Amino acid sequence: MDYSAIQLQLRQVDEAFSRSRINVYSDTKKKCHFNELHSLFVEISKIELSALSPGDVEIHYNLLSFVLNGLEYLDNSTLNVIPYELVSCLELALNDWIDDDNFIIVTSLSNKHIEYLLSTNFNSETFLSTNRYIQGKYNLKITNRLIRITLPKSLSRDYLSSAVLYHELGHFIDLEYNISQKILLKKYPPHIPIPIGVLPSDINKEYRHTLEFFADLFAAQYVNQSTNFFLQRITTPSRDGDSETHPSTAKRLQIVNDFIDGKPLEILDEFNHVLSPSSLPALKVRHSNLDPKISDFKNLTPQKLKTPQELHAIFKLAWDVWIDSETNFLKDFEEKERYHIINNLVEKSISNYTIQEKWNKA
Amino acid sequence: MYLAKTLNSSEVQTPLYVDILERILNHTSEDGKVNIDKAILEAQQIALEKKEIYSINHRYYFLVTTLLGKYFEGLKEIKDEQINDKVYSDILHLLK
Repeated sequence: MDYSAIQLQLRQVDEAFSRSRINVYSDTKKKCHFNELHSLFVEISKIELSALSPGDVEIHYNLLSFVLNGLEYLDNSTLNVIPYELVSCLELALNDWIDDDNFIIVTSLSNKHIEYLLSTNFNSETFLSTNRYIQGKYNLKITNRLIRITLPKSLSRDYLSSAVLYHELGHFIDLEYNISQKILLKKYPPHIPIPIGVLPSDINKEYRHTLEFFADLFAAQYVNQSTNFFLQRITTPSRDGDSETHPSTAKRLQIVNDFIDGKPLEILDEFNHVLSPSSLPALKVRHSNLDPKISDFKNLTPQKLKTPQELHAIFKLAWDVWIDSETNFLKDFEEKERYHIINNLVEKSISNYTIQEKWNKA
Repeated sequence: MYLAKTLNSSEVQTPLYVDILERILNHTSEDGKVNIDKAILEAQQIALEKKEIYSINHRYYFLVTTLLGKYFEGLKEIKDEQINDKVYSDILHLLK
């Protein structure tokens, strides 16, 4: 790679900024991040590209990719687009795991059905060393890191399927603290040759499956079996089985069921053994139980939520009401209406809670 | 997406650590040396089995695990927490 790659990137970033200039964000942190990315771009634009060393060319290429990628997610996180209620729930869950206040959850709406992703190109190690570099070279600093979540545009206000975003947040926590990696690192220390008969692809598969189990358990802490309910509905049992990237649905459902039932679970113990020396809390149930039979939903009014635990429990309540909707208080409505009612009630319940919280803190 | 390439953390980290190590060896800047030294000593503690692998600090996880994989014997030879230019030079060589 030579500096001509950066010449092209600068033009692309310039174009992207001209498109994003009119964006209105839902909070000041996003605006601040936008301004910091722009300042970095302006400073890089001033340098003599041909004078950069090969190492500096590589770093600058990565910096400009970081700017472009950040802009893309900011564009999708403007006031009118961001699924604000969902993000509010995820932010509260994040608070249980991260002390820093320097994160921004941003979203990108995908046109692909059931595409829920989490992008973590820059973990804390990369963020720190990148900041050290740009402080030294440009006297600039990037204050906040983006947690980038992709979700299907068509389902951005579907609170039944969107519970899987807690699973995606679990991936972020895992990758941030290298939890699954540490389990594999202990089993296969990097300075010892891989045991005979074990292939690198076997280790990679084991690692990928460990990541999924962690994310499933992480989500279950907050949304109980909501992700299981969704997973069941998108799995064809006759085709279920382990893949290179994911354990079978049957295994995943069982692990979450056992966790919720408080049964002994070897993989849970393993995760908790890593979490403690990493100064992180243990995986445990972090939600209340809202009984649909006595919930406010029964009166077709939003659920009154008093605590973050109750807030997270709203997703399980939604599923409970949906699953029984042919026989419960929604039975007289058409299926289409039931679906709309549940999603509207969930959204309003979350919205009322977040407004009340802001009011209390003001 | 615009045209942003999907970046891999380790691909991004390597040139940044190379930059710090080159500056330390050229004596142009010691910025970043504190973290490099912490990572080297943490890797050494693990190599000597004085520290649990689960406790690796996430702020320099990539560097520690790279050192454990590629500089295991060199780590054990560091005496009295004294990290000299030869150690920095060895690490620079293995990262490049």
